[in-house]
Amino acid sequence: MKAPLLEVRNLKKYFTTGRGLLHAVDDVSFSIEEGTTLGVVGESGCGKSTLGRTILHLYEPTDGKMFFEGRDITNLDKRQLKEIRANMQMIFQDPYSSLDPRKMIEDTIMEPLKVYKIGTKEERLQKTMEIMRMVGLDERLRQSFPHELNGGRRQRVVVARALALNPKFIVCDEPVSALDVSVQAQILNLLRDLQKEHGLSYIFITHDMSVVRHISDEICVMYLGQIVEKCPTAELFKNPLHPYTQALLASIPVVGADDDGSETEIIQGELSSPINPKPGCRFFNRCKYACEKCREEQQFREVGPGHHVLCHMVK
Amino acid sequence: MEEKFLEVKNLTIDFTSAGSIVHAVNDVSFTLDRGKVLGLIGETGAGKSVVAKAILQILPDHGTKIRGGEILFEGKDLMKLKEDQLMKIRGNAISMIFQDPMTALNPIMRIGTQITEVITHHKKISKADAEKEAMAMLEKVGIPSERFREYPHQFSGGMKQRVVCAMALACNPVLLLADEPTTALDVTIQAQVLKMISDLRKELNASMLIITHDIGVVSKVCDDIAIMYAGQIIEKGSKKQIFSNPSHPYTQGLFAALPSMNEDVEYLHPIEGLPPDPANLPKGCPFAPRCPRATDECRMDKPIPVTMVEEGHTTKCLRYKEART
Repeated sequence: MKAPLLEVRNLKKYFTTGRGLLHAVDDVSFSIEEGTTLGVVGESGCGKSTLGRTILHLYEPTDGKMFFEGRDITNLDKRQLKEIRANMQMIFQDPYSSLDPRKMIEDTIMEPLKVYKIGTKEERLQKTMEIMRMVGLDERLRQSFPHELNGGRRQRVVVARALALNPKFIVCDEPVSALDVSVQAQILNLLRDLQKEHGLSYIFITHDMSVVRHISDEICVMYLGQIVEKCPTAELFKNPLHPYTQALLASIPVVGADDDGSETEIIQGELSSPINPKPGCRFFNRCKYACEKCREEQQFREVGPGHHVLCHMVK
Repeated sequence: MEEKFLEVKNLTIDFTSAGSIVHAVNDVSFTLDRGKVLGLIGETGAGKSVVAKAILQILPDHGTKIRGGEILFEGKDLMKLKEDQLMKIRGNAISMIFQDPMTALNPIMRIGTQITEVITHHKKISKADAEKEAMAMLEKVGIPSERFREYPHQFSGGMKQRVVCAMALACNPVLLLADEPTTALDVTIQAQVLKMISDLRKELNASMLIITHDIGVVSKVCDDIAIMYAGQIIEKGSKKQIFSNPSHPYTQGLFAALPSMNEDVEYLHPIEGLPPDPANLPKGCPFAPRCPRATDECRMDKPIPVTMVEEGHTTKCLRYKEART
């Protein structure tokens, strides 16, 4: 059997803080097949961005293993890291802060090619123009600076830069959160087109359930560093099993005139601290089903075809 | 004629910036009845926040030019009032909930003091009584009064927004202006804060103007909806009218661009192009350059008139009948 494009096994990333160990990512496992999208959803502080960054070695993992095309990429030296990064790129959330304000668009997109010493100067320029066309940036913008472009165009530049080295895998960290809906739709369509044409795989990190539903093949729901539920997209929305997933879906205001303001159930309380968490379920303090058994360590179990959940209550 | 609770008539505001004139608000008119909630939606730069700030008269003096219009609040034109009269209204009869609770609070002042300050400013009561009221207000927004003497940094984002709400509601306002009140919050916390605001608003029978780009939030809390584009209200009506019969091509485009929670589509339908530069608005309809149905008539150098679709539902589109899908 062919190895999945990316496999993550029991990944942990802890940060040392003055008050103790912060469990940002705690024992997370999943794999991504070529040409598919894994959505990672959760609220702020759940560890979803740390997860994306740890995979790209922007943070060094505390524990666990990562494999890319079957090759162990957990511990890499500088040279190996550079080699693997050509295949793994990142799109950041905020196109206002992730572009160098003093670099022209063409230089920003060309920079990865320069770093990897690909082609001659002319070839690099040609490739840059080609990528700009691919992401829908007009050629006349090549010598513009980021401040001359609006959010949607800037995000296209960020996408173009990520594509420059023909990567196989891209971590998209909230790529459309800073954009207005009409522009958001343009970028989502672009990401889908690129995936189809180039067989790209994405990890798509977002807090927006409707966006993740649109773009993902499979979804992981994170809560305080752990994946609490993982299953194919349609299944998650049809049959959410973890109490947190259910609460999350119920919290989203429904678009349309049907909402008469009637009471939907709202979960109370806020996230507890990720520093030195107690053993057992981390959603315990907000969960309406909480019982004594929840204080024990929970097992991430398969409860249906491809449907995993971290809750002992689910049968 | 019956006096309206809040009536904004033909409001037009320009900003001058770096020598060019930015047309931020163009001929905006709407009314809001007592106890009702109006949602003002639109994308970045549509002029939503400017309208709210104009009602409170807190636009910067420098560079702002109000070219015309009236803002009648219980019959008085707020634009004609003097600063000391406005000071009596702000935070009292009309108050505002700002978007970002991280910057709306003073970081070096105890939250209790910040709420008490609003009360002592508007009411002639002793400091001890004002503190008692402030504590009661804090409990009302769901924060235990033991936390009265804590500083903003000791609170989470959702809790801070509750404090901001406590300040806004401390003097029992009759009109609440909420500028993206939950945009900075997570969905589960957003649901809690929206419910709290709705409950307290109903208790006071206050009216609310809520500004947001989140169509889900609008669906949840509003009676009426006005959609802004390039400084104009291009469509308004009851929530039901807007959702069941969106008549302006921009409104339709906005709804179509949203990823759906119940339907599977392979591609979304973005609105082609970009919103116009407010310093350089196109002639005629500002949406014409992006509109699939625009004709030469839409691009003529004259404002698009307000057309009635049905009772209570208006649009600024010459071709809304054909635009219907």
